[in-house]
Amino acid sequence: MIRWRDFDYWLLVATLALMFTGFAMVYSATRGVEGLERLHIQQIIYGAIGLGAMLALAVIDYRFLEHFIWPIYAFCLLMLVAVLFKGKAIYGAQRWLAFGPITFQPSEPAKIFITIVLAAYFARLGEKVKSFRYVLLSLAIVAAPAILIYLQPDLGTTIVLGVIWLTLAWQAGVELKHLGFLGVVSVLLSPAIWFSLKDYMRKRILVFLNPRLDPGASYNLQQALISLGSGGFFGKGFARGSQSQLQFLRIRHTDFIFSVIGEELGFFGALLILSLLFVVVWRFFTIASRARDKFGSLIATGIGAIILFQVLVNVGMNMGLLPVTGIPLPFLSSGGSALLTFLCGEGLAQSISMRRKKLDFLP
Amino acid sequence: MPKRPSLPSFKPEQRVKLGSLVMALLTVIFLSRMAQIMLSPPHQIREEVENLAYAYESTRTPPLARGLIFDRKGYPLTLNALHYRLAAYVDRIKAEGVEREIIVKKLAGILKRDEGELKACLEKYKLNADGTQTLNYYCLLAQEVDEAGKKSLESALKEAFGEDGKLPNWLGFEPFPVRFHPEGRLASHVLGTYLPQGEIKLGVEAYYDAFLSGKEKPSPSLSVGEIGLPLAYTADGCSLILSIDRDIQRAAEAILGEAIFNSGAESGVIIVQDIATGEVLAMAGYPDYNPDSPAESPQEFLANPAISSLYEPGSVFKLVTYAAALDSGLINPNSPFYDEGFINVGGHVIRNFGKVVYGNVDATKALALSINVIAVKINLSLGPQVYYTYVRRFGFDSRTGIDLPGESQPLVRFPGENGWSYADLGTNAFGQGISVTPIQMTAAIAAIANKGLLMRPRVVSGLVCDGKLYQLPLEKYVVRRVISPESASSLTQMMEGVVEYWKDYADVPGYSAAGKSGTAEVPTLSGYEPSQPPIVSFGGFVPAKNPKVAILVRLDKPGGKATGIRFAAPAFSKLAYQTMRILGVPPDEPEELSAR
Repeated sequence: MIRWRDFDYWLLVATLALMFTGFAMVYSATRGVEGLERLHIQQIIYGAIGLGAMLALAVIDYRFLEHFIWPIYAFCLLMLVAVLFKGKAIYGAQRWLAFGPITFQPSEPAKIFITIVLAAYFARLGEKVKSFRYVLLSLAIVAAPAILIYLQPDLGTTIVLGVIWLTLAWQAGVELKHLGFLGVVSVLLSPAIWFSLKDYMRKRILVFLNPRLDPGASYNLQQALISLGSGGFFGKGFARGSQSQLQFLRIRHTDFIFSVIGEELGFFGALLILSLLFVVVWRFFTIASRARDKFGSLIATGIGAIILFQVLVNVGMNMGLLPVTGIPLPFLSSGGSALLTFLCGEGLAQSISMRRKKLDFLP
Repeated sequence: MPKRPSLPSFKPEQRVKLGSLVMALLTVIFLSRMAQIMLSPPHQIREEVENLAYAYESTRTPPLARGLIFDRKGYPLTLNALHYRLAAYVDRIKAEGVEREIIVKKLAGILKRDEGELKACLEKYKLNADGTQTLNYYCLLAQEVDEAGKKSLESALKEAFGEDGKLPNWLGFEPFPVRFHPEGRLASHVLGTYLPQGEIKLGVEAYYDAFLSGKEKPSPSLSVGEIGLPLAYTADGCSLILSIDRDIQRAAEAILGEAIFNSGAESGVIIVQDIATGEVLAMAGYPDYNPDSPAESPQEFLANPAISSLYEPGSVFKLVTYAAALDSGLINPNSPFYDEGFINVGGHVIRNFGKVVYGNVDATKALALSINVIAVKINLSLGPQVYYTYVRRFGFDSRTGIDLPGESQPLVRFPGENGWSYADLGTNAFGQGISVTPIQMTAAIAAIANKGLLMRPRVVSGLVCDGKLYQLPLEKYVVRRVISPESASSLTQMMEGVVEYWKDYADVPGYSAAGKSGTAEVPTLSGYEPSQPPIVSFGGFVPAKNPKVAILVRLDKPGGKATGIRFAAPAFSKLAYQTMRILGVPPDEPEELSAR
């Protein structure tokens, strides 16, 4: 029984507004750049496919997925292994898989897949979640894909997987003492982690802590700050930001798209975009709280947390509050795999919303 | 049972609230930061960013010092210095209008540059090739000034634009490391060049780049302890101790220049190689170039002819034929021969140089007179199997593997290979129809002097890293035994005979010497043209009784009726004598000296 009345139109409207802003900003950030002129078209195509996928997923009952948890998990790992061996290297990292002319980044859907798998795992645990053994097992479930993504190397997505785990563990009711213990262990392990980091990752963290170490790396940050700072209240107008139009700001269509927004649409524009993003997150958490079952509730919480985390990290990076990690801004940054993934995630949330607890009478 | 005190356990709703609280807190922090960046006056954030940039500039460390290059006695041949670019950071120039024009005028005066050109360079926006305008932020005012030039420029600029004794922030001297060569052009082909911006890399600069730049260190097991040389300069990368001797190199270059001048040759090569170790003591090539400014010389002058320029060695190559014949027991130095003045090989008639007929001679005489027909006869008796075995053993089938980039592969056709014919067996006997490099020929002659042991030549004798000397053990440079010590000594005796016969040209005063000359026709597109100038050469070693060095002199296309004996042998003689004196080898025939 599909109840379109329970379809979350707030969420859809906010998403569409963000997506269209995204198309426009990608266009503005890449116009006149050789080789990137068609990037916004590509983004629109992915958006259209994503909207279709979202509606399809909304119609399908998400509970159906519970039967396929382990196949989903296996498929996810397989993709990640494949990308390590057959991946197409871009910017020195093997993150893309090619199917004919289409390339996509398996680490993006992996976020959703792992959310589903973990949600199912925690939902089935019930009261056993109080036992540390099962907590460790849940950690192992995340560790395998996290290591594969880390090897690509993609530090940003690895951290996102950690956030998914933490959110779901928290929400599933893992004991505070267990979380605290794991926290202490990871603090003790952090020197070892530091030395296992790739050079570029260490460099980024060091440059963030002390920007004078590297002019090239702090250049992006400087330019992002200049872009944002020059926006003022109302911005310089669409496609009129000198920072982005004169190409001072690098990777502006992905990592630093928020700075382009700030420069061209101003403080109010940026505030509006941030508000829309928070509406999306708020809807996800609302759907989670009203979900029919724990499985659905955890999925919505997990995906909402991914979006919130990415927004905070990306915007924080644009404002010089956090290191540059290459985490895109959901629904806005150029990147087909990410857009498709978030729209599919939203489809799942809509499916959960449409099958929520009955609070009203059936017609 | 008393209840164990424990951490609070939250209900699901409480957990949501707690999580939301954290999120709300983060959001507040973010929004206030955003407001701070975007709503404070524009110049404020600009300053924050500029400070980042200046902070970096002031902490910039000078680049790592590249390893230096010394000769075998520790004399510096390549050292480091800092040169500077003078740049204007155009976006930092605040002045507008007339004030800006004054700046341009003053700069043009100080730099002695065209005013219009400077004005365009310092324009706020610059026009791109596609017609768009972009912000101009950089203008190169002076390409390269040395330390002294920087000092005088700096004081002039401070006087013109300085604020409290400092350069204005829109001007900057940007240091970059350069190489300079205290001995000028000396050994330029061996040293090579290193330009931090450009890609002209040659010589040991290129071959040992990984060590010089400090990217690699030699294996600790190769350390042989202290350097034993007083090195006056240090560097971060490994430094090179060349096997080149500055004084012998200088003598070789002077004598080469003199020989080229006397003979009217186009170009030439001299190599001096240490017999016992195989180390190259001098490697001179003409024309050479100035390693301080390689771009000023034609590209072809940069290549090292001693290792890259192939030539037909001519009669010097008869040494291989005689070595093979002696070592295989076919002849001894006294074996009798009869020369008819011509011989037919595979349908080709071969005659002696100058069409002379010599009649009855012995092997020693045949070598001294350089009789082509006898050499061909010996080769025919040896047969291709034996002869080419020795050609291979002397190393003429491959590069020597010297530690320099750009060594040429010799062009020798072997039986069974495409293009080899029986006639080659004949012409090869007197060094025609094959092409080798000077370093190969030198190494082969050194092998005869070294009692038949072929050594791999090299120009670097050791690396100095962090104050320690690293060297490969000598046995790593032994290539193979080519002929027996007895055969080597017989051949040496015959080569002494050559010098004795031509003593007016080749004798080394005070020292016994052994050698062989060569005069080779140069192949042209229309075949060998006897009317064209040849390549003349002389290769040998001193002292013949207890060989220390092998020397090869090659002069390309001298004018007139040039022969190896007439032009190359005197250069050999002179350099051999000077080398003996530089190395402090006592004369083994002192009576010669008193007789003069």
